[in-house]
Order: sequence, then structure tokens, then C-alpha cells
Amino acid sequence: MFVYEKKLQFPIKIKNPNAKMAKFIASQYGGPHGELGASLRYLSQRFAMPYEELKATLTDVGNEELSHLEMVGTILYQLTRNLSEEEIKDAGFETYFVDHTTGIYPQAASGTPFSAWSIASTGDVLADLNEDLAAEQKARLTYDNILRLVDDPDVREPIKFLRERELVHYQRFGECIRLAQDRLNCKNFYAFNPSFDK
Amino acid sequence: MTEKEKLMKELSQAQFAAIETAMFLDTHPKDKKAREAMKLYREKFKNAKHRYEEKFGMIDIYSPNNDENKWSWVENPWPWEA
Repeated sequence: MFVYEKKLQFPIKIKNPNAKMAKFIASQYGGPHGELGASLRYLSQRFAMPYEELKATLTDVGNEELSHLEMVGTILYQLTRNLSEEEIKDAGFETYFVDHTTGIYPQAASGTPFSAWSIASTGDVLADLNEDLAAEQKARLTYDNILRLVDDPDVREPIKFLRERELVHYQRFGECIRLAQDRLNCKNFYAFNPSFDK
Repeated sequence: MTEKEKLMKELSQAQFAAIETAMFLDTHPKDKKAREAMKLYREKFKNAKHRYEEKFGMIDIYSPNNDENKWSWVENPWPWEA
């Protein structure tokens, strides 16, 4: 079960709203490499994991991704606070505004709503863990791209923190693959699914 | 930085160290040094959480409710409202 803590994982206090930034940072809320997909991916995959260290890692990383989802939501909320109609139009934010006003909705920067097609949960240890390594790199590159487009330090600091967490998660998933492969039978040379194909 | 922000920073730092160490321990459950570090971070976190709750209110629903007249969990600001 989950218990809510009334705090952010990393402090966020954005002084200047900026709808233009919110338009593309929204992708890390509900886009293909975003935090919603990340949390659902790991928290769903863990049910089929056969090894205890891997169940623990997926639980704890999945849980942390929910805190990151909250952080990205907070960035979007603060970037779109107290906007004038003029600012909304100038930023090209009206295509979002018309459907959601300044509510937070999970979608990609392109406007495509969040899709579970962006995640996999295959019931296969090695397929899932390789998916997870790729997912962490995709999230990292999206944060790299956001950092290329953003100069406000109030936004950059939490984004840099989130980017760094992707690196750590990638490292942990790499260790998970090693732990899984160490347990494969020496006859399981091509690393098929050890939990299903016994 | 206000006193509230300072205490929150102390709490978040201890919590971050604990989260990071716990995640390392997930893939290295026998690592003695990390298990020792975890003890220290847990104590630091518990201590900072306790001091924060006393002065600035609830962190989770199990925190003491210091307001005699109402359920203070509902009080603003929520974390996204800084």
C-alpha cells in the first residue's frame, strides 16, 4: 500500500510563469518517456518478477517515480499560475487551454493523451528489465532536451535532479539484469524466461 | 530561507539519503557498510520529521494533529503550492 507524504521530493518554487515551457515539459508528465508511464511500468512489472531483489527494486523505483510525477505536475502547475489571456495566446498555449484550462492532464508535448502503449509489462524477466534500462535512458534524454530549451534556474534545478535520478535507476536496473542472469541455468544460454519456461 | 524551509530541507536531505541507500541495498542486500549507513539516515529522518511535525504540521496522516479544533491535514499549503 501507499502512504502520502505532504512534501515534494525536491523543492520547487517557480517565480515566473511561462506557458511556453509548460507546453513541452508536460511530456514528462504524460508523454511517452514520462513519469506516469514510468511508475505504471515498474509497479505493474513487479507482480511477475521471480526474484526478491528485483521485486524490491521495481517497488522502490516505481514508488519514487510517483514522487517524480508529482514534481513534474508541480512544475506545470506553477508555470501556468496566474496567466493572462494575452500570455496564453502569445505562448501558443490556447490549444491546451481550450480543453483543460490550466488543469494538469497527462499528455505528450504533441498533444497526444497518455497511452499505455508507451510501456511494456511482458511477464518475462529479461524483456522487462531491458525495457526498463531503455526507459530510464529515454527519460534521461527527454530531460536533457528540456535542459537545452530552459534557462530559468527555478525550473532547471528540479529538472536536473530528475535527470540525475534516471541515471541512478539505470544503474540499479543494470544490477538487476546481472542478478537475474547469474541465476539462469548454465543450459539457458539464450536467456529465455526463467519464471515461465522451466 | 525561512525556518520551515530549513527544517524541510534537513528532512528531505535525510530522506533522500535513505531512499538512495535503500535502493542500493535492494540490489546489494548484504552490503554491511550500506546497512550501517541506512541506520544513521533512518535516525536522522525520524528526528527531522518529528521536529518538523511539532512546529509546522502533518507530514502524513499518522503525524500528530496539533490543532484541537480541527483535522489539520487539510490545511494549505499543499506541496505544489510553494
